[in-house]
Amino acid sequence: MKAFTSKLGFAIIVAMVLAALFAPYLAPYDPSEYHLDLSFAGPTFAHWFGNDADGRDVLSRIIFGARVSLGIGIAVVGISLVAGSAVGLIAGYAGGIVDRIFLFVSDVFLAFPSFLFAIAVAAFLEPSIANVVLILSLKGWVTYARLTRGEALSMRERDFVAAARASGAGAPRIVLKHLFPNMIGPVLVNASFGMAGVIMIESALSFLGLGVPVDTPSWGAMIDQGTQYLLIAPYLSIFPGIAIMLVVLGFNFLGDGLRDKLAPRGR
Amino acid sequence: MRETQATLTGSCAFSVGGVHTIWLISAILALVCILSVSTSCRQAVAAKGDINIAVAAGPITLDPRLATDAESDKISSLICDGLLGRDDDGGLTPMLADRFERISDTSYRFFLRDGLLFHDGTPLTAEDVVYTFSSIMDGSISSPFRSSFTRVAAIEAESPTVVRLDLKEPFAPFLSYLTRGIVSKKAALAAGASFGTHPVCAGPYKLVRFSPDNVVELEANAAYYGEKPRNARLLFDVIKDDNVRALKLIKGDVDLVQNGIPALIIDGITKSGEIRMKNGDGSVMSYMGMNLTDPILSNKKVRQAIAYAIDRDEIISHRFKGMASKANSILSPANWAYDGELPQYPFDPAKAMQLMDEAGFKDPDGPGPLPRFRLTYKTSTVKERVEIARMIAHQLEKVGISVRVAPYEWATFYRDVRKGNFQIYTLSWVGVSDPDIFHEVCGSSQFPPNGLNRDRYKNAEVDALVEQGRTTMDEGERKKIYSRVQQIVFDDLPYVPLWYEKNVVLYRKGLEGVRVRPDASYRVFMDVGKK
Repeated sequence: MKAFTSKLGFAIIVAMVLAALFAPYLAPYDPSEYHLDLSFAGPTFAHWFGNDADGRDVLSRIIFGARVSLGIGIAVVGISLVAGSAVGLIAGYAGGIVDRIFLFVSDVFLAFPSFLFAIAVAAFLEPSIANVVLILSLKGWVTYARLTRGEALSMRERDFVAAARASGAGAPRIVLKHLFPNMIGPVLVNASFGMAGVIMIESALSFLGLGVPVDTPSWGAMIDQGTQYLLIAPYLSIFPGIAIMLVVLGFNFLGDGLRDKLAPRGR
Repeated sequence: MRETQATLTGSCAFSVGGVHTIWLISAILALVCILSVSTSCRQAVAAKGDINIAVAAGPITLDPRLATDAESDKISSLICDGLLGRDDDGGLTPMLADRFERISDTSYRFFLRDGLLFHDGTPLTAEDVVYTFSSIMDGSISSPFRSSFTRVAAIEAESPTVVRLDLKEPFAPFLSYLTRGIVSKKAALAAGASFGTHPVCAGPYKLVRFSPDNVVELEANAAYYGEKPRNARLLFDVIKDDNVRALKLIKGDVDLVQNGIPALIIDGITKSGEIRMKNGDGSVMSYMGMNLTDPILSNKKVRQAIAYAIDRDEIISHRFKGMASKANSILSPANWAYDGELPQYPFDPAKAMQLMDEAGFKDPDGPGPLPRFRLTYKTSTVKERVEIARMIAHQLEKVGISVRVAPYEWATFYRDVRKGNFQIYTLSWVGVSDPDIFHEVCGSSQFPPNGLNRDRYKNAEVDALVEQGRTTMDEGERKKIYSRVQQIVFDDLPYVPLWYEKNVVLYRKGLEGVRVRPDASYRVFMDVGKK
């Protein structure tokens, strides 16, 4: 069962990534083109997922929306992972005062609820994709930093590290060549769950009008726009809702599978 | 949709493994929440003489001296009568004062009706009138209407039923300020700051229950001097979500909604035949403001080009489903001072492009991707407004203007508009009755932060005319003055008049006596009854 779900998760994600990469070729229509005569036209063979209030093709917008969701997800997780791991490794390996300062700073960041923090910062900045990435990364790095710091702390006294040190390896080499490769498993598992989290928060921010700019096809923003017409065209919110559900499920299934394979200690 | 939000909030931690079931559940929950629209738990028990009215926001205060937001102002107008009132066409009518005389250009004498009683049974006398206006003028309650009364030199009670008012200088628009509700001096002094939650006035309804975010209940005032309300009670149900409001109307928890249902879904609601719809011309005028200190927008040809490039017919038929009409002045056609000769800027993209070419903003690559220039278009985050802004932006892009729509949370948006921190924005003028509005909006003495001339428009002729309009007492003469003002402003175009939104009332078919007024006043609810 586990093997099946993780394969399924992988397949969903591959499909989404392909959709995002080849959006201009896959999408049947221009996602921003108005067709006022097709306003609220329900799903048909020509428009599988129907048309929104301004007659824009919902399927095309969902396909282009994959770019926004996955793009932001990858950017945020990438930045958080690199920055967080670097800070965590340094703190964990150096220990002492550096570690204590790190713990203090990360505690401060962890004390803010993620979503509240995102809303508070978003309210100050203009809605843009770059700002969404910035906001989510501001908080996202902490998780990776705590994780790698813990791993580094437990590994630095182990024999293989002592052996490397005895054979004259400097701190940067030990951290990069000996410590980090040993914690890639848990970091990847975390990244997979993190992707799901980032996509959810991005959708939520866009749902609240604090995320991506107006007119950018984003799943969260599509649900938000659809809520106005829930009574006459509920599919406007349902289809992007399903898209979010699928991609979040996909990353969670994948994360589960990765954890079984890579980080058995976490079980 | 509050649940969806809560679900997302609850599940949005960057958590390490072990929570996948929570993810699964929350993802499914999110979907379920999209499918099911929440209805609030409160069920109104409708008695025969009760009319339930859904409103989108609760009033903040019911003290007529402090009420500035729309709901506060409209609901307090049912509780508190003024010296003068307005009829369905916006004209001034007698209310607490059954007549007045103009002693000179600066002096008035108002005669109160006999036997007026406040809700608490105490008599309403000239003292209360003097107190109401004095408390606004002397700053003791920090009323936002204080500036309207700065021209008053003296106000005194000549007898228990006669009030005399002297102005420092002739000021034609003054009478329109006297529609503000009169409060009981005794009750107001006793209640202090809490008067807004239990006002004592002499209007057709008494306040029974006031919980601002939930419900405001009014009961017909049996001792009312004028025609009594046709219903026993008005209940204003505060329902913030458009969909819930519509559902409650369909289900029958609510009897009537005025201007609270988006035009695009009205057809879907009235289809069943249970819900009726009435509409009428409104006085709310939407416009696109432009910053005249901006190097691009300071050019009149560019402003006119923008007016020619906006296809208002398309927006009105699509977004408003016809529930709006094209505007060409701040004043609505129902206003006595509206200039009926005023033309319109028709939709003419070719003319728009020609004007911008003449102004020196040529399109570098014709129909290609490079724009003539770029503009930032600020709007509030209200969804309907953002969608309309998006449509206008698309239309402007077709003539080579690149527009970025930037929605801002209301406080930020409004502050930016008032500070002049914008290129273009859209807003509406609500409650315009006297043409003196041109002094506020177009007079060069009225630049922000203290005035309302947010576009920073300056025209010497307009400045002279709006001053003249204030001191001219003859209505015919005033009309001529403001016709001229409207023509100049129409040509100079400091803002693009967009449309007057119609007032739309949706109600259950058992109701009688439903009508709408151009100013969307709630006074019309007095005549609503159940069959």
